[in-house]
Order: sequence, then structure tokens, then C-alpha cells
Amino acid sequence: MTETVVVKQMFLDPSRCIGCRSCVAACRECDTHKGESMIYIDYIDRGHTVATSPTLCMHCEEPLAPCAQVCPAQAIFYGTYEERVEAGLGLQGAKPVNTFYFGRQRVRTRNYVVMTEEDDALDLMALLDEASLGKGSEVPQATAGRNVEQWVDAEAAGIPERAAPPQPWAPREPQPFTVPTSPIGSAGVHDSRGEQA
Amino acid sequence: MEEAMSADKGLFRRGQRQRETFDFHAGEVAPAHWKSDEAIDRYVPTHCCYCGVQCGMYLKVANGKVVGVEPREDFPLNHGMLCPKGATAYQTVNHPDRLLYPLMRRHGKEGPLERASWDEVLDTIVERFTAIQAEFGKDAVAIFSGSSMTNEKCYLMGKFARVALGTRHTDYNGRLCMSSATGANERSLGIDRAANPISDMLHADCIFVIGANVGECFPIVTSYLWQARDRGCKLIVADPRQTPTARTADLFLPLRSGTDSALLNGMLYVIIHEGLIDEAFIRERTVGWEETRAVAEQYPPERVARVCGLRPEAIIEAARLYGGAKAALIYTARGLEHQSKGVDNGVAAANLALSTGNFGRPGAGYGTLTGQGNGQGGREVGQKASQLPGCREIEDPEDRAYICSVWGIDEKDLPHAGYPATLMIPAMLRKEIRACYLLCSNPMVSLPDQHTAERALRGLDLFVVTDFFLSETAELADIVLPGTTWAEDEGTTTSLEGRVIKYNKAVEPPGEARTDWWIACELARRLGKERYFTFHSPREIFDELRLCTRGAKSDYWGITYEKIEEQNGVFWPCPSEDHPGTPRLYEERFGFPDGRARLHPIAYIPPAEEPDEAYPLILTTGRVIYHYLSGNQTRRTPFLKEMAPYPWVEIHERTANRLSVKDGDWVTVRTRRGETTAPALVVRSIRPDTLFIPYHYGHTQAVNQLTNPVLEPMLKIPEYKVCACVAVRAEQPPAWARDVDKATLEAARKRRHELPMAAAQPTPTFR
Repeated sequence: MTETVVVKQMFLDPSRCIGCRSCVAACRECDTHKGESMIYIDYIDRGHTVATSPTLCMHCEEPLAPCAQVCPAQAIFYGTYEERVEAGLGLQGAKPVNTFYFGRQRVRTRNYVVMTEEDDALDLMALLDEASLGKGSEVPQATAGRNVEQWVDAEAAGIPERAAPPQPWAPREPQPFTVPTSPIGSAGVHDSRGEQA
Repeated sequence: MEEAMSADKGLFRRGQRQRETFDFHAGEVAPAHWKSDEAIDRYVPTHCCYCGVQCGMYLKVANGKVVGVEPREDFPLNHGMLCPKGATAYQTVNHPDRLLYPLMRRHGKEGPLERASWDEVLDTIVERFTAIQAEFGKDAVAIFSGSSMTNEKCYLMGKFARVALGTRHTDYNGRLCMSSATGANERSLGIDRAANPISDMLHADCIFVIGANVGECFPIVTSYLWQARDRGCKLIVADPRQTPTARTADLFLPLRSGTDSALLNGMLYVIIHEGLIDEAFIRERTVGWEETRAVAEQYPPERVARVCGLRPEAIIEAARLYGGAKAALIYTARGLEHQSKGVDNGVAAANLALSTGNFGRPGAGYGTLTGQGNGQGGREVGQKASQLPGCREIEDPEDRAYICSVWGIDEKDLPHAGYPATLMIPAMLRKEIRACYLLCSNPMVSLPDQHTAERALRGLDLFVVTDFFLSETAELADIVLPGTTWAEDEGTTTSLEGRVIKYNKAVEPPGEARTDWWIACELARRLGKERYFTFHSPREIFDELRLCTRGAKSDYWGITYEKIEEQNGVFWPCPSEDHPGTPRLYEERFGFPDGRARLHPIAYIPPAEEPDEAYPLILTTGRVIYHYLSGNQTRRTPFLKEMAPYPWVEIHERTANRLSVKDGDWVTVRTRRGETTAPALVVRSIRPDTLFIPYHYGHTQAVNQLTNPVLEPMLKIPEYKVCACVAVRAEQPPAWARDVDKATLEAARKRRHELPMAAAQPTPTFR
């Protein structure tokens, strides 16, 4: 004789975790162990990234684990596999943000996006160049700190700006601003100064 | 522990399959002392008292006390989700720090705050206010109000100032929060409200979050962001720090603080040059395109990138992602608004949305994520310096006449526009304002340039504060009135979507604490204005508010308490009782008489204070998830306090090396206005030229001792988000660190697994 089995499970997806500790706060509110949380949220490597990961007790079931109920990122999901797929979450994140290849191994991650200095960057794009892209796979997004550059002021960069001197506890007076006739601001000649900023 | 083993072993019982239990001790029944000791009498449906998301929750009431919280699955925004602030919000209700009776300094400013009776304090206030107004004019008394209270109270404070006191000067702490978004909305779109409900995120192909730390400040909104991304939506985040939201973004633009308008112009340049603009939309629904285009043409991404400190390719890619999306949303928040050009920044963001035709459709729009609980409602019900209820203009003759007819006063008795909150401080220093009634606000944490603000508040002839905890500001007051928490009164608030929702009363106020509206009515009675303040319940106030907003921009006329309950909130404008409300704005027309949106050319203005030799770094401030605004409530909640007990200085590894600062070292950060010392958190998740300090702390821990009080010209919002600073390693811990219990700090650090970084040193260095 056949029997219908409803298997509800805890699904964890650290890549979705925002480290908000909603689960920790909710767990403490559970009547069975009020004031004590059964969950830890750890920064994976705070020096390099704000990525966090929950560690659960995995004990709750019906009606609903408070941690899964409150999680605003759906990093903790309690339900059947079908419910999870239906919720668009899939297994291990249905649509990972970064897919890259390390040699022939396909790595999907949303978690370890690390902001690094240029000289020792985890250069996802460089890894990609050497990797064979699977058929139909998406090209990963360049993310994180590799977009950081040193800055220069507007004059050096050659974009128009309105001068506005600071006056503590007084509003900046709006100053008339007219559009220069030339499409490129004349300030562009100062470009070379930018390097020292 | 033996009991611990008898935890529900449900993990081993998959559904109904296995009847047997692997519990070795108590079988099915958990030991009694594991349950909370009190039987719950009632579950009161209400909303969270904290941020603008206003999640639905039930308060558990037992024996007339709030003892717990249960999320509301039925509220369509949070669906049972709660952030740590929401899950612990109920703990402020029975808090031992609650003020239970009025306090007064009977022996001058140096004397102690002593217990007094309500009659004594109210009579004193009325007597002193009357004397000051008789000697120095009506405008010598000011109202400094707030937005973390119900619409009814906000509305009543505006009316109280203008009718009972007759002063021009009434303003609120939203001035410090999102007032520049108001300016941008009014200049560009005509209606001061987010254009879309949050659920529109699920229809977007691209979401551009600029200057908003969604994961920490609006945690529940993250759910929608993540769900949208599960459906293939692209996320662009611009922020000088890697925030939890930025961490996984498809494109992260770690721009330099204060360069948002340059970035937005640069993106508009790319959108124009790649033909991604929506010409039909621009032609039919906007005005001012040519001028805007001419200015944007001067911001090529290569140059903008150098000002923003970004790679030009990143700006081009952002523009392509945003411009190429079928439906795209822009969300802004304090990062972009807390600047001396906050309105310009908002307008530049709206320009981007308008030029790509992203309005009036599901998943297309622009909006600010309002921070305060009732930040949206508080800014439209007439407690602002230049505003009458319903976003009516105080200088508009028609609006004045209408409001006077509702209030039953003579039009010439209605004061004109007064000082915004930030200009009250210099007015206090000039002795133009001599007395102030402050409620629902804590400027001694939240105002910039704290030392100046403190001088101003200390110099007042009479300073009255209503609060339910003795806040940093209340400590300076001559009279402190005990107020109520949100659980002790009913009333409506308006969430960041523009959805009017209702708090329900769970319990009676403790001790002699009274609601703000009762205090206002009582003061009005003693001021001889009783006939204008004959309210006996929030419902009566709301009915008058509805009438005041009838036909105005933010029209509440069709909203009733019953309808709010029935529909789980009503989006304004709602012009009649059979109108369902308006979740999405601008589907047909914009909020100007001709129905067209306005594009304004925006030129980049640099931050008021740029780094130089003496102050080489950029200081930016912000929030952490565990604290709400000035932290007056959340710093008293044990769990939240433990998670973030003190401020810290987030500093890039490279900068820290240059300053010989190790993780956990004490760092003194100094600006032209003041200095503060806090432990360093050495990370790579921030721009190397930028320091970050959370702002929720008071006294010597307040980062607002350092921030720049330069104001935005239109709406007078201070520039919290960028000023020049210098950092040095501190030789010894600051005084506040000597006061706190070292063991507590260590325990907190261990629990939080972060502060300071685990790898380097076990504790903040006390040496």
C-alpha cells in the first residue's frame, strides 16, 4: 500500500543571508526557550566581506520555525522541496548571481564577493578568460570593489560644477546656474592634475 | 541540561510517517517551565513601531501587560517576516526605564529633575509660554515635533502650534530625515509619495538602489529585492560601503560620498548616447527635456568616473542595465538625501526614470524608502514649517482659507511659514526662539554639530520634552512629560509605500504616562483654546484630519478606520469612501496641473567640505540594523544593545595600515566641529578614502559631534553623509569606554562575532 509522504525540511542558503539576525531575535521569542537563541549568525570573514551565514538548531517543525518565518531574505526556508522550488528559491539558489569557472569547475556563488585591493584582487574575469565557458552559460557580472578608483575634483575631471561655499547652520544660497554654450566644459584642460589626488 | 534534551525531536518525525518518538525523556509534552508562565489573553493586531515598512504584528497581552510578539501572516507587506527590531519592539512597553510621572526642574537649570504632578507641570508650561509670548511675541515659542508617532498626533501638533500657541515655528525631525526627497518629489513629479507599492519590485527587470542600505535599514524590503532577483531582475547598488545588499549586487558602484548627482548625470549621458531614452514618454508626459539633456551632455562617464572615484566602464554598464530594462525601479534613501544638495540628487534620479519612461507601470518608478515609522504621514499632515494638512501650502490663499474654515479660525490668525527644524537652532542661539516644546524626537543625537545644538537647547528659557524614556534631549529639559509607546494608543500611520495603516491599543499607559494628543488638548484648554481641541479619541482627530485633507494632494477623505482594517491598509490618495485607494501613482498623469512631469537640469555640486591636507579623509555616517534612529528605544532593548553596544569606525585596511591602526584599536576621528573615539573595524568592504561611523549613539559617542551642519538650500536638510575628517590612533580609551563594563563588551563581541574583527584582537584594546 502506498503512503503519501510530506517531507518538510530546513533549507539554508547562506548566499541570501544579509546578517540581520532576525532569526536570532525571533528564536529568542519562542515560548519554549524564551530569552535564549538556538541560532548563530557568523560573519564569514568580516575583514573582507559582509557575508554572513546562519547556523540553525534544525529542531523546529510545525507550525513553523520562527527563524524561517521571519527571515526577510528567505535564507532560511522551511517546507517541502516542491514548495521551495515554487517559491522560486530552488536548491542552492536557483539563479546565482556570480557563476564563474575555476579551471573546469563551475562555481556559483552569491556569497563570497570579496572587495579587494587591485593588486591582490580575486579577479573573476581573469579566471574566466582561461576557463571554458559552458554552452549557454551566462557571462558573470563584474562586481564588488574592482569598480573603485581614486577620485579627483570636478574641475580636474572636466565636468561643470556649481560653486557653493559652506556656511554652518545656514542654508547654501541657491546660485544662478547657466548652461555653458560649449558642450564640453573648458575645465577639461586640468586633467593632468587628477593623478595626485 | 536534562530538559534541553527533551526538545521537540520533530526533526526525526517526518510528517505523519513515523509515529514513534525518539524523545528519551518526556514524550510529547514539553516540561511546563519551558512555556512562558502567563496565559495569553489577547493577540492585538497592530504594526511595528519602528521603520517606515510598518510590518504587521500581533502584540501578545497577558494580565494587562504586553509580553510578546507574533508576526502577522495576513499583512500583505511582511507576510510574517520581522526584523530583529520588530521581534523585540514589545520590550520597550514594560521597560524599567519608562517615565511614569512628570519631572520638573524647580530650582533652575542646574537643579535636579524632580517629580511633579500633571497639574503643576501643565500650569507651569502654560504660564511660562504665555509670559514669554507676551514679552517676546508669539513666535518666541517653537514646536519641535517628530514622525515616529501617529498621523493623529502629528496633525494635532501642527494645529496646536498654529491655533493654540499661534506660533509660526513648528517643524519636525523628518527635516533631518528625508525632507530632500520631498523636495525632489514635489519638483519633479508633483506628489510627495513613492510612486509604487513595494510589491512592484517583483515586476521590475532592473532595480537601482542608490544611497540605501536596504538590508539593514529596511530588512523586510530585502525579501522583495531577493524575490525579484530570483525572477531575473538585475540589481545595481551605489554605496561607498559594501552593504549586505551591495554584496551580491549584479553591479556595485562604490562611489565617493556626495557625488551621486554626477553619477546620475553620467548615467543619463550614456542613456542618451546609446539611444535608450523613451522619446514618446518624454514628448507626451514631461517638460524640460532639452535643458536637462544639454546639461547631461556635459557629464561623459569617463569624466564623471574620476569625480565619483569609479571605473568608467562600471557607470556605462550601470546605464546600459538600467536603460535597457523593460521596467526599472530606482530606490533612494538617506545616503543620497542627507546632502547639501539632496533635492538635486533626488531630481537627478527622477530625471533618469523620466527619460527612460519608467513611470506608471508595474515595476517602473522612482521612490524614496522613508525611514521613520510614520515618515510619510508625518510629512503630509501639516506639522511642517511651511505646510498645512494634506500637503497644502501654508502660503496658498485657497489652502489657508479652507483649513481656517475647518478649524473655525480667522484667516489672519493663522500664522505663516516658520523656521524649519534645522534653522530653529540658530534662531535659539539668537534668542529669537526662547522656549520649545519638543516631542517624539531626540535632536541631541540626531542634529549635526552637536556642540552647537546643545548650546542652543541649553540656552532656552523653557524647554519641555515629551518622551517615554529619558532621552539625551530630555536630560536637558526643564520639564519632562511622560509619553506613551505605540502600544498604548490607537491611530493611523502611513508607511513608506503611502499605505495608511492603523495601530491598535493593546494596553493602558503605565503610571501617569499620557498620550501626546491628551497633553496637547490639555495644554490648549489651559491656554484658553479649548473649543478648537475638543477631542476625546484619536478617531475624532482622524475625522478632522480627513476633512482637512479633502481634495488636497494627499487625500485621506475616503479613508476610515474600518476601511483600513477591511483592506489591510489604504493607499492615499483616496478621495471618497467607495474609492479603493491608489497603490501606484502617475499611471495617467503626474501631480502638476498639466499632468506632465518636470525634468530639471542638475549640475553637480561638490560636497560642502572636501578633504584637504589637514582633514584628508571622508567621513560618512549611517545606520545599523539593530538600532532605530537615535537609539533611544533600541539602545534600551537588551538584545539590540548587546548586538551593537557602542559605535565603531569602519576603516579600510590600507588606510588603517597607513595610520598604524590595527583592528580593535581605539581611533580618534576629528573634524572641524568635534571629535569622537571608537574602536576600529578594519575591513576591505569600504572605500579606502572613506570612514564610516554609525550614528545611533549619544553624548561623547555621538558621531554627530563631527558632522557638517551645512544645509540644503530648498529644504534645509543637513549634510550628514559627507564631511572631511582626520583619524589618528588614540593612545587611551575614551571616557565612555571606562564607564562601560568591560565584561559586557567582551560578551557582546563574542556574540556578535564581529566587533572588532575576530582575527586580530579579542577585545577592543584597553591600553
